[in-house]
Amino acid sequence: MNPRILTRCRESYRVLSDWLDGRLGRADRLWLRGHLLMCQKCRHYAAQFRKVHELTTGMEVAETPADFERVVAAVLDAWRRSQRPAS
Amino acid sequence: MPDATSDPAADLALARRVAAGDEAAAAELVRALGGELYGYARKVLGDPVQAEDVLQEALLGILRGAGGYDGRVRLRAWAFGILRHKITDALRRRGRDPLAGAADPEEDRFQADGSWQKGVTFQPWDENAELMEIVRRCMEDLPHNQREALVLRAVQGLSTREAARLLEVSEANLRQILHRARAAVRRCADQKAGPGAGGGEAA
Repeated sequence: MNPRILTRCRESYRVLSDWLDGRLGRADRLWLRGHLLMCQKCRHYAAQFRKVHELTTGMEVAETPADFERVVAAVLDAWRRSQRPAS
Repeated sequence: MPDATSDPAADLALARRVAAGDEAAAAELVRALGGELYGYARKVLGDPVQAEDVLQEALLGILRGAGGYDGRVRLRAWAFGILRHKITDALRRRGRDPLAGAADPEEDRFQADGSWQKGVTFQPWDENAELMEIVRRCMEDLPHNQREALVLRAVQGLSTREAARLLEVSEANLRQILHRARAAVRRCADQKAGPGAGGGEAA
């Protein structure tokens, strides 16, 4: 194995998102895997990064406002008024 | 999200009904989009009251602008575009630059040869830590564009291309913003979830 693989931490860090998003080519995946096997710091770092990736990508976005029905009514009312031709 | 806003033909039909003044269609659209738009605004702005104000402005803008929807993008993406303008206005009123970014949070932690600086360590996180809650809190400290990119990426059914277009950046730029955002959240979470909550890093 190329000894320089041990010092490729910065490169490893830079490709983590592409790796987790499935955008890394086969050759890059192979050297990254090799680096992670050899470098404990990057292995731990990648595990944490993966967790953040999972939690942020999978988080629930939708939330209901506390008083959604009031919001709906207010919006529809304002829209209805804006639809009326000016007298 | 009902099918009415995930099928292109149904999207256009619904928008046309709204533009024609159909109240049932307007109510359907508001209810279909409301939760997701509010959740997005809430996560990006942080303040629930301001998020509700922005939601109302956006929903009204969507109903009034329905006649201009041409079906070239999905209704959901089009609606998020309107919401984003309202959020940008709100951030400007708040005196925050919506385009403010941040440098890479880790780049200064490497030595010249590309390895981590001495003293930098990473330990596995406590599996019992409430990581989702920690991540949410860490996201609140992100620069606006990074937080928004992360939330937009989590919106179901929105492609990277649509997300980049909404944020008015290239796809490559969006990937860089997302990477920095994840790195910043990781660093913050490591301080809250690492061994001894703060012992995870020794920079």
